[in-house]
Amino acid sequence: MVQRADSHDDVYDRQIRLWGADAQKRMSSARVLYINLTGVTCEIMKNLVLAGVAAVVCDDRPYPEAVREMPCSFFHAEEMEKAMLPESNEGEPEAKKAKRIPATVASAIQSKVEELNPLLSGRNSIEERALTSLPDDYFSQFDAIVASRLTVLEAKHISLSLQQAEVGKLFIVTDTFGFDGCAHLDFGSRHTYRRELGKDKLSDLLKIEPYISMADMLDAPLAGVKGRWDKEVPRTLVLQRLLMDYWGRSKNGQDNETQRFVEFSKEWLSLNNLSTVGESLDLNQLAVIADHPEVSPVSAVLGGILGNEVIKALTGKGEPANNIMLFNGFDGGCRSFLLNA
Amino acid sequence: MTDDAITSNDDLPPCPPILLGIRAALGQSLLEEILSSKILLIGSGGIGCELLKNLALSGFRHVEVVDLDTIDVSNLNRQFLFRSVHVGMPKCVVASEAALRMVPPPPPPPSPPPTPTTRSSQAAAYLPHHGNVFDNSRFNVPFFQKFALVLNALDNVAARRRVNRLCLASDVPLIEAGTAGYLGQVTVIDRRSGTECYECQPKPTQKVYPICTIRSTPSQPVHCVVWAKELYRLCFGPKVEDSMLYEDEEGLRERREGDDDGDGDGDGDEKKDDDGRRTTTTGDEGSADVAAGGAKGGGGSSAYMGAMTDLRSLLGVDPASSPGSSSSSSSSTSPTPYDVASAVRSKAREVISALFVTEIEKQIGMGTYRTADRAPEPLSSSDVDSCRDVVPSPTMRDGCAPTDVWSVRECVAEIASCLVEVAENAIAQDPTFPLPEFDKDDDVAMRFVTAASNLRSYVFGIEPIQSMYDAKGMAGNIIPAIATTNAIVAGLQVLQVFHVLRAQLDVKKNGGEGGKLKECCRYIYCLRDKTRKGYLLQPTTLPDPNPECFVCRNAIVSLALNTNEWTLDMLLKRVVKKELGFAEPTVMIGEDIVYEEGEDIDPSEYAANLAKKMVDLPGGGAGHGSVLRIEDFTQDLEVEVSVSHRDCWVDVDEEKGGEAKDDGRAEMEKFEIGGKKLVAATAASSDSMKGDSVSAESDGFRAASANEGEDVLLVEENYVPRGVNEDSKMPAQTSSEHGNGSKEQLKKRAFADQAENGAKKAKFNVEDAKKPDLSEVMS
Repeated sequence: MVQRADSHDDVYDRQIRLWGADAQKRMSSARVLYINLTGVTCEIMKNLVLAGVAAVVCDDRPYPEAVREMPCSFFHAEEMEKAMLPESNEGEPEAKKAKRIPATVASAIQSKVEELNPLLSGRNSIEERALTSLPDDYFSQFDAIVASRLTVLEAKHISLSLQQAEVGKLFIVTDTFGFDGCAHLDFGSRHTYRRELGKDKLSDLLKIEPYISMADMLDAPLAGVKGRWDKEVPRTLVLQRLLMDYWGRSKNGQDNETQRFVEFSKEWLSLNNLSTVGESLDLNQLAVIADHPEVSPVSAVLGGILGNEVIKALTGKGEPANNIMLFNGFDGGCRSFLLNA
Repeated sequence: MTDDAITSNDDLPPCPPILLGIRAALGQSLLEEILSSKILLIGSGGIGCELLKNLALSGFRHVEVVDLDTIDVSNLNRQFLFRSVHVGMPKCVVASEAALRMVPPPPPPPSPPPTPTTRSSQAAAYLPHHGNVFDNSRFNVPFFQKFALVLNALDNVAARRRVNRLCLASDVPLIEAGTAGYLGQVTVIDRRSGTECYECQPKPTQKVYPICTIRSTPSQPVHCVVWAKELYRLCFGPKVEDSMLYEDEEGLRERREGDDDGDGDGDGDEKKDDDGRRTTTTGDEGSADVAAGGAKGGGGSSAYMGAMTDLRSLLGVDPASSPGSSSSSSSSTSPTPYDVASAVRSKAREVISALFVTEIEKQIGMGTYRTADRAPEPLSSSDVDSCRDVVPSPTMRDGCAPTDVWSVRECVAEIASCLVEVAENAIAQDPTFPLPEFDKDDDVAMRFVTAASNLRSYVFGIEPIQSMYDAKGMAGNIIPAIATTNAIVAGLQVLQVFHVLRAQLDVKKNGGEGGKLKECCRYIYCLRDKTRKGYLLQPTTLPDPNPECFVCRNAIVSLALNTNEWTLDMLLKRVVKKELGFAEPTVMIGEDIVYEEGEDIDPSEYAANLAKKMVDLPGGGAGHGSVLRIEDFTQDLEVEVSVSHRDCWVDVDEEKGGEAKDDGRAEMEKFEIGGKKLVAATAASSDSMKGDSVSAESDGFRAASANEGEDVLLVEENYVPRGVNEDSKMPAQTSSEHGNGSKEQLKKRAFADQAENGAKKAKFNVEDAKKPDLSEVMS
C-alpha cells in the first residue's frame, strides 16, 4: 500500500491540483491574524482555515453582544440569544456563568475554528489583549492580517508597524454595509508575485506597481481620487471610509440614531469635500444600514474574493488586486480599483 | 432593491438580531417573503453547503435539499458543513441538519396580542431528500411547483439538464451555478422572463480518442492512461469483451481493418508535427503486414489474449471459463497463498511480456510505425523479469509518496504485486473482490493503472512519466475545487434569490404577469484574472434564448443519419436518450406511435420495432424527409425531429485546410444534429455503449467521464462576455490591448460547471483546447 503521509493530501487533493503542492506547503505553514470578526472576516477565515491556513483571532469585544447581528457560520443565533437572556440559569453564580459563557468573541470562537479543520489542530490561537495594548512589533509576525471594523487610526498604526518591520505582508481592511462591500489591500512594499501564464507557466517575479501603503491610502484625500474608468471617487469607497469614521466615533456604544448619523455624515462629507457625492446618497436609509450593516451573501462573496487575495499573497501566484476592492451586491459586480495616493 | 428599504426600525415587528442587516438592506416586506418562501436546493456538495449557510443566515426557514451523494474525505477542504466523522453519510442529511442549526430562532413574541400564525412563525424545516433527481416518482413537475424557486448546485450536465427541464415545465425560476477551480458562473433561468435556458448553448462534448491511437499509436500520457484503464478492464472486468483491448479471432480481423481506417483517421487529428510520420499508411499494406505479424502472437492471432485469459482464471475473475487453468477460487483446490503468488507472478511475466514485448514487436512488424519519428522499443527481458519479486514494488518502499515517479522495473514490479494482491484477496474471499469497474479512489486500481500506463509511455517514449498523483488526476478526471470559488458563486446565487423574491412580491402586490427577471438578475462570471476594467466578478445581462433551442423554444431538431442502417433501438439510445436527454420517450411518425415507454407501458408492445431499420418503421417509416415527433411526459418536453438520410460520412479536418477523408467511426456515431455534431453534452449516461469508456478528459472544452457521472469544465475558447454592463454603458468586451483583457485571458474565462470529480486544471483545459490533436472519432 502507498503510505499516506497523513490525510493532508486527501483532504487538500482538489485544491493542490489547482495551485500545486508547493503553494499548499506555503499556505500550510502560514498564519493569518484576524482583527475583529464580522461576517466578511469570518468568511475569509472559514475559507482559509478549510484550505489549511492557520488562524489567530484578535477580538476582545464582549461575546455575544458584539456579534449578535453577525451572520456567520461559527456562531449560532440560538446559542447567542440564550446567552443574552439574563434570567437563564437563575441562581447560577455569576462566576460560574462567566465561565460557561466565554467573555470575548475571540475566546468564543476558538473551539469552533479548531473544529473546522482538525489538520490545523494546535496551530490556531487567539489573542485576547485589546488591539490598542498590542506592542508595535506584534503585527509583523503574521503572514497576513485581515481586519474589519477598524478605525482609520488603528489601521494606520498597524500599517506603520508593518512598514517599520520592513516585511512584505498583506494587510486588508474590509467592511460590508448592506449590499455593498469594500476592502483596502496593502500587500506590502516588498511583495513579489508571478503571473499565471498558462499550463504550469509562471511569469518572472513582479513587484506591485504602484505600491501604496495602507497608511498612505488612508491619508489620501478622497475628493481627488479618480481612476481610469472612474471620473470621481467610487461611491462604495466613500461609504467604507465614512462608516469607518462613524463606527470609530461611536465605538463606545452610544445609541445610534438616524438623525445623529445624518448629521455626522453631512459634516463628514463636507469636511472631505465630498458633498457632491453625498447628494446621491440616501442618508436616512444609510443610517439604518450603518447600524445593521451585515448581509450574509454579501459577506460570502466578498469573503471569497478576499480569501483568494490572501492565497495570492501567501503563494506569490496570481496578480494581486491593487489596491481597493469594490463589491456591489446589487448587480454582483466586483472589481479592483487603484487608489493612487 | 432598496425601493421599500426601511429608514427606521420604529414600529416594525421584532426581528432576530442577525436578520436586522437583511431587513435594513431589503425591507420588512421582502424579509417576510424570505421567512415564508419555500426553496428547493439540488445538490449539497461544495456549492450546496455554501448555499445552505447563506440561506440559513438570511432567514430562510423552508428549504428542501435533494442529493444522492455521500461524503468523501476529499470534500472536507471546502464542504464545510461536513466533518471527518461524517464520511460515508448522505450529504443532504448532514448538511440540512447543520444548516438548520444556523437558522435564527423566531424573534421573542411581542407582548400580547400574539401575531396570527403564519408560515414564518412555524418551526423552520430543512428537509433532506436523499435521492436521485432523475427519480421521476419523487422529483417531478408537481414537486417542483411547490417552490418559489430552485437553486442548482450540481456537478454534472445530465442532472442540470433534468432540473432545467423540470423548472421550465413547472414555470419555476432556476438559479444555476457552477465552478471549476478559480472559475465559475451564476445565472438565472426563467421561462417567463425570456432568458436563455441551460440547454440553449451547446455543451461541449465529451472527449474521446480514436481507438487506434489508444491501441497502437499513443503520443501523449493521457493516451497511455486510457489504455491502462482498458487493460484494467481486460484483466479484472466482469466482461472481458467490454475492454477495448479485447481481441478474438474474428474480432481481430475486423478490428485490423478498423485500425487501418482509424490510422488514417487518427493522423488527421494528430498534431501537425506528427503529420509526416503516419499519414501514408494504407489499408492494403497494413493488412499484408498483419498477416505476417499475426503469427507471432501465442494462442491464436492475438499477442496477449491467451495469457490474459489464463491470468483472469488464475485471478478468479472468470471462475470456470478456462479449462486449461490449474487454479480456481474454490477452496478444495485452492493452492496455498505462496503458490498463488508465484503462479501469479509467473503469469504476470507472461502477460507483461505479451503486452510490452510481443505485441509491440508485432505492431512494428506490421509496419505501424514505419513512418513514425520514433518507433516504440519493447521492454527488455531483464526488465520483464522484475515480475519475479527481484525489485520491490515502489509502493512497498519506506517513505514512498504518491508523487514518486517509478522506473520501468518498478512499474513491472508494481503490476505484479497488484495482481498478487488481487489473487490473494480472491482466495481470501474478500467481499470487495472482484474489482468490477475502475475506481480512481481504489488504491490497487490506481497503482495498476499508473504502472501499466507508464510502462506504455516508456515503450513509446512518451513524456513525462506520470506519478500516481498525476495519473489519478487524468484517470479520474478530477476537476480542482476550492472553498473560495464555491463561496463566491453561492453568495451570488442568494443575491439573485433576493431579486427573484422581490419580483415575485411585486407581482403579488401589484398584479401583472411577472417575467421581469432580466431587469434585476444578472449572469455573473467569476474570473481568475481581472478584466481590463478591473472586474473579477463580471455581471452581464441575462442572455436571450437561442431560437433554435429544442428545449425552451420547441425548435425543430434536424437529424441526419443513414436511415437504412440505423434501427429504432440505435436511434433511441444514441440520439433520443443520450443526445436529447429524453427519459421516457414516446416516438411518433405521423399519427402512429412507434415506441413508448414509462411506468404503465408494456415494453413488449413495441419491442418488435426496436430492431427495425428506421425506413422500415410503421407509419411510413422514418426515411429522408420524414418528421418524428418525440414526447416526454415526465419532462413536459415535445420535440419534432426532421430526418434526412445521409450515407456518406467524411471528416472534414479544418486544420488541414478542409481536406476530407473517410470516416472510420461506428455507425452509431455517424449522425449530425442541428447541423452540428452535438446539441448538448451528455455526461452521466448510464448506457454502457461500448466506446464511452475510452473517453478521457483532456480537451479544453470538457472534462468529465460520462461513465462516472462526473462533470465538466466548459471553457469557451473565444468567449466574449455578452452585454457587459460594467458601467452600464460599456460595450461587450473584446479588447485585447491590455494584458488583462488579452485574448489569452478571454480564453480562460469559463462556464465552469461545478465539477467535483471532473477534470484537470482550468488553465490546463484552455491550453489543451488549442491543440488540434484531439478527435471525436470513435471506434
